[in-house]
Amino acid sequence: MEINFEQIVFYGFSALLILSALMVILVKNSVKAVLFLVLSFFSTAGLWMLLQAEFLAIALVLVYVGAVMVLFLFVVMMLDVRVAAARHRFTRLLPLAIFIAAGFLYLLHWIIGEHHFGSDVMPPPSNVEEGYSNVRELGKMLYTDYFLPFELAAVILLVAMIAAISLTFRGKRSRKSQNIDKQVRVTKAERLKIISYDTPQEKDKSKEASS
Amino acid sequence: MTSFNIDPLIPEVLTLCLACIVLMIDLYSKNREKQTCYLVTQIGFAVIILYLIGNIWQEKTITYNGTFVVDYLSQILKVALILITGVSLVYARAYIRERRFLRGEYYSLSVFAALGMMIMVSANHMLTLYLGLELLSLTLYAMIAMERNSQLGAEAAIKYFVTGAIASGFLLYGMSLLYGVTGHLQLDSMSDVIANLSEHSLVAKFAVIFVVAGIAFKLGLVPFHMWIPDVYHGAPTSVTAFVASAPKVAGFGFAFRFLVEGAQPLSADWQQLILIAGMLSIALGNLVAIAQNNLKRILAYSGIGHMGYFILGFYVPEAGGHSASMFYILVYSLMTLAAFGLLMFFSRIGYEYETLEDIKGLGRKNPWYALMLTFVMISMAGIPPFVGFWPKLEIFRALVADGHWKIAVYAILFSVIGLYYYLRVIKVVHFDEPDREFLFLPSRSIRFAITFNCLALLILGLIPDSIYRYCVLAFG
Repeated sequence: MEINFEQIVFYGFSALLILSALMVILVKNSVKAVLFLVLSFFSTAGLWMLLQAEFLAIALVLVYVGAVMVLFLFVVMMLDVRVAAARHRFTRLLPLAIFIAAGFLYLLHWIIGEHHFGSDVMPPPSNVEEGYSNVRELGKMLYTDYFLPFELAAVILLVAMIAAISLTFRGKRSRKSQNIDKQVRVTKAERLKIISYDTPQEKDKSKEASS
Repeated sequence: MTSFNIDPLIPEVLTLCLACIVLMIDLYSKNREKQTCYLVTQIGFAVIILYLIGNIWQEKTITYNGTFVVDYLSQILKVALILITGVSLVYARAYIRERRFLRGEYYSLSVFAALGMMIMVSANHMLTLYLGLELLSLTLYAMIAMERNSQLGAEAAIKYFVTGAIASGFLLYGMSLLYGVTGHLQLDSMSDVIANLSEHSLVAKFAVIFVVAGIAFKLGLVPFHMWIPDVYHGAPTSVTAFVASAPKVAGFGFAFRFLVEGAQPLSADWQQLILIAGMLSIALGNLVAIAQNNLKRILAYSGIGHMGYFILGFYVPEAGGHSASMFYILVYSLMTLAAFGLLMFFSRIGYEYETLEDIKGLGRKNPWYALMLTFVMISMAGIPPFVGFWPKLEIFRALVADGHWKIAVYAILFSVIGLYYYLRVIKVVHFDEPDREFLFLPSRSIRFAITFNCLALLILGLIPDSIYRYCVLAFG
């Protein structure tokens, strides 16, 4: 079997993707895990490029790697999670987990293996002709055929924003509103301070008042 | 390309506009009670309901390139959804004011949730179905966590979020496999392809298992019910009332659109799954509720049991099972709204009346609301003449008419077992000695709404045809 350049690229990126995805869950340092996730996004972008979906590939790199993962990296670096402590009792159910995972993997292979989704059953996508614009096709689809799901996705993002603000914003700090609970619950001891001391000034004051 | 017709989408457009208007009013209103937000929300809901009722008799039309469907069923469900959301807001207003998390976002998020549910019941495309579901779930996660000082609320929100994300994953995996096999995202064309599928039918069956798992999670059917008691218990009662009522109706719409309209050729396969999930739910819900002492948890487990009865209607479609299911879900949301409304009404600042000891002897101190609670419990237990009896009867009738009398006997048996914990609430309320004073929420609107809602259970029970007629017409 002859191996052409495209296949070399495909297998290269695939191997990189699987390896980096495995490393994401296997490395102990969470910052390294995030960096491996970035690598796996890059290799996915490479695979999409092979499928001639160049806009999606670039969007993946720009949006996920450029924005989301950087943000994620910040959070992970700030949190200083002790992964080793969290993993303390993880291996307790390992045999059962391996058994279930292996059984599920076998089932998945049986169902969606090459018997049903092999290259002889599912034809490969045909190459597009010259001058085909990925962005134009996507734009057409999004704004005509799929305008309703597109708008819904926009509404979901709006809801996410509202929810995030409503869950974290606690109002202005300088607000001088009354806290009625506190006012009602106040006791005499908190507000009134009785100090007994001799008052020699009183005589002076009465003198001043008379004069 | 035909000319663009906005008419079928007008209710959704109005709802979205309403949500944005409420959001803006909230931003500029100085009123701490957010009266304007509340009024605008309710007036907006009334307008949308009037519009829907005016256009209720719709021929089934699939528009917007197959992403959207409008028919009589979707119109009725939308009216019910908006009505339930509106009533839950009437209950919520006084409650969230006392609890100090009355913020304008509560209203706008409720409207967004209504929008998501409306999309779910009239989706004809896997993308629209999924996006509607996510819109609903996202708003619910936020609303559960809204009471910031409540530890239980935050815990419930996280639990719901994590399990909900897993369920969404299941659903998406099933959907992607179905797309891989059929090449369609549109439900009706998917159904056509599945009917003529020969070699890939195994994959389609496998995919449907995932979809059923996702739906069972959202409805709270037994193998996927674990989140329900914790979320119902932990969430603020006003949000629980909402989570327990309207999303179930939307879940019915989702299940009907996906399983019946999209995967009808595979019905022999998914009906078995649904039957087992339903029977397990009936057993577990009714048995575990007996051991509970917290009213919110009792209602949660009774809800699991009710979902079990409800889903059995999908097992016998030929005998009118779908209309029985629809009847069941509408009546259930009415009952559960009344039950949680009463719990909200009983609560006061800093203290929730939620265990059975708390409502001990309520009947001596406040006979009227004790009577209302009795109405709700009897109706939930399914005793005539209350409305809760009729949908159960309808489900049993459909089961027997299709020859599954064994399942019907099983369901009736557990219904009798379930009677115990409903009657226990009534016993505690009426026959135990009171040991404390009761201070209820000082709000006239919630008192009226509760009384109206509970009396409706009795009145609708005397004329059950008033709801059932529309359910039959929707599938006629």
